Amino acid sequence: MPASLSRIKLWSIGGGKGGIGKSLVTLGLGVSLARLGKRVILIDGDLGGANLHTLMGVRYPELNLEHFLTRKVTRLEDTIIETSVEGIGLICGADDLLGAANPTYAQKIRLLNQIEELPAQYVLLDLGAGTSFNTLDFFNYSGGRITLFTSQATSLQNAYGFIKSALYRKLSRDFAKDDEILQLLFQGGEGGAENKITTIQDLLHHLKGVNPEKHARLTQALREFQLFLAVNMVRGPADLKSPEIIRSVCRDFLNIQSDIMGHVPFDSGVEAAISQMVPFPLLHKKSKAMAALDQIALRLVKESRLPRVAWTGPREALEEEDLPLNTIITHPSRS
Amino acid sequence: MTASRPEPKAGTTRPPLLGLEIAGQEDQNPIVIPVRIQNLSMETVTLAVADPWRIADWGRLRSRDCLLRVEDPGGQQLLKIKAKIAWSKFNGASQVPLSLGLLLTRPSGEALKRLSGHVTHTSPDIKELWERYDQAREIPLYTRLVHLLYPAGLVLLLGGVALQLTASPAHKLLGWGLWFLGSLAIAGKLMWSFRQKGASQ
Repeated sequence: MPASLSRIKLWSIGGGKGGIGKSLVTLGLGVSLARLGKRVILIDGDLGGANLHTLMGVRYPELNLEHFLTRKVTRLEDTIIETSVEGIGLICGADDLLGAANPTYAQKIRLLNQIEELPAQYVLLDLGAGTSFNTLDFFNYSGGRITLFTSQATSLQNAYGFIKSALYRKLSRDFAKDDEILQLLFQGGEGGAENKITTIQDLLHHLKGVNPEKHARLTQALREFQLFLAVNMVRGPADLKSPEIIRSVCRDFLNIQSDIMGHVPFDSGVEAAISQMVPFPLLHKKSKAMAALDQIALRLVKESRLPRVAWTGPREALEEEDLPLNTIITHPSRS
Repeated sequence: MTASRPEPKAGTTRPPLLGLEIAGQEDQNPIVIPVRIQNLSMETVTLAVADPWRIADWGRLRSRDCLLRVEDPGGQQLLKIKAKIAWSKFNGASQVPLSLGLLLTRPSGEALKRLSGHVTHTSPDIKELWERYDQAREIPLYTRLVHLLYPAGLVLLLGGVALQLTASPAHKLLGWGLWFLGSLAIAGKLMWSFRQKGASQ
């Protein structure tokens, strides 16, 4: 693999709202990747509200992130729990005890550094609901970012809020020493006055005239914010419009390009699988939801191999994709 | 609920860009009250009324038809949007003495867009997000027509069968025609449903 190719290992799945299926999609993606022959580690990043282990049928995890954060375990690798699914390891989230839900900056850095060292080809980080700085930082740090939502109005609203918060968090860090940009960036949002900078588009327009160097830096920072969208619990064609709404508003107001990674149809069998504490992908191997997750997993593998270049420029794969397409179910009804 | 008028506040009076027009009693001219939009959705709007004292009892106006007059900033174009007063609520000594809920009567996309332009207390991206959400939820005319195919087909089928039972050969022929059209309509709707189902998978 060429040295210039930075392959994405860590993918985070966020979305702002609770109950939209982030953990289930993370689990499903993990199973799909494992079925592609990849070694996967799932991390429950929902600090304070962890339950990914429960979805995997693990009731009593011996070790979790809390042990690592409080240094009871030195290496993150040692907190991996092997699961019933071949090829998937699990790092359980921490309970809301001993401040593990609010790790310090040093704890976060230690965690993120060790995630990169984990013995896996793919690490999927299931983020908690909300837009806490911890959640946003984990999301921004990840090489691959998936914003998940449903077509419900509240989910759409929270997903956009989550993306916007993550972007502003990134920009506030990128331009931490630039008071002018920060002031212009955060003075907006309240609307009103005619000449007020209310969007990033306005800010770019303003900077283009007065400070081309800062304009170029901001443009670059926006290009770096690569984003994928996925919609869950799709019940009909109308639901497929929701990622287009998010994508177009992100493009027009935040000046970021996002790719639609796919959609997962609603599956009534998921509830039963959760109650039985059996990973739903194992109980419903041939469901439409799993077929859709298989497709998203393929896309994830492909995107992980692509060079991370400017979004407006052409994307070229540096190596031929060699995905075992025949090993997965593409569509249950046609199989 | 009856309004009691507080001391008038000093300030300049600016012609309203947004006004609520309510028909007056019997031969009286309609009353136009300056309002501000607090909230807007696809079919409802909440208005802030800074000076509600011209109407003594807002409670009696519930379910009354009214018009929202939307002027452009130049004051040259006036759009009147039909609505119905759904509720009113006095807010005590707050800055907004009265909040008023209206149900918009089949508002057009243009009307909602113009009203949205008067929502000034939120950022433009959030407004646009909701506008695009509303647009996505709008059911296209052809979809609504397709949904009518089932009942229409059924009526044609039954009409055809009824005509078949008559003795007249001409009526029987017409009956066959109606029967055929009814079957065609139902088959068309079924095929459309299957296509829609396939598209979502």
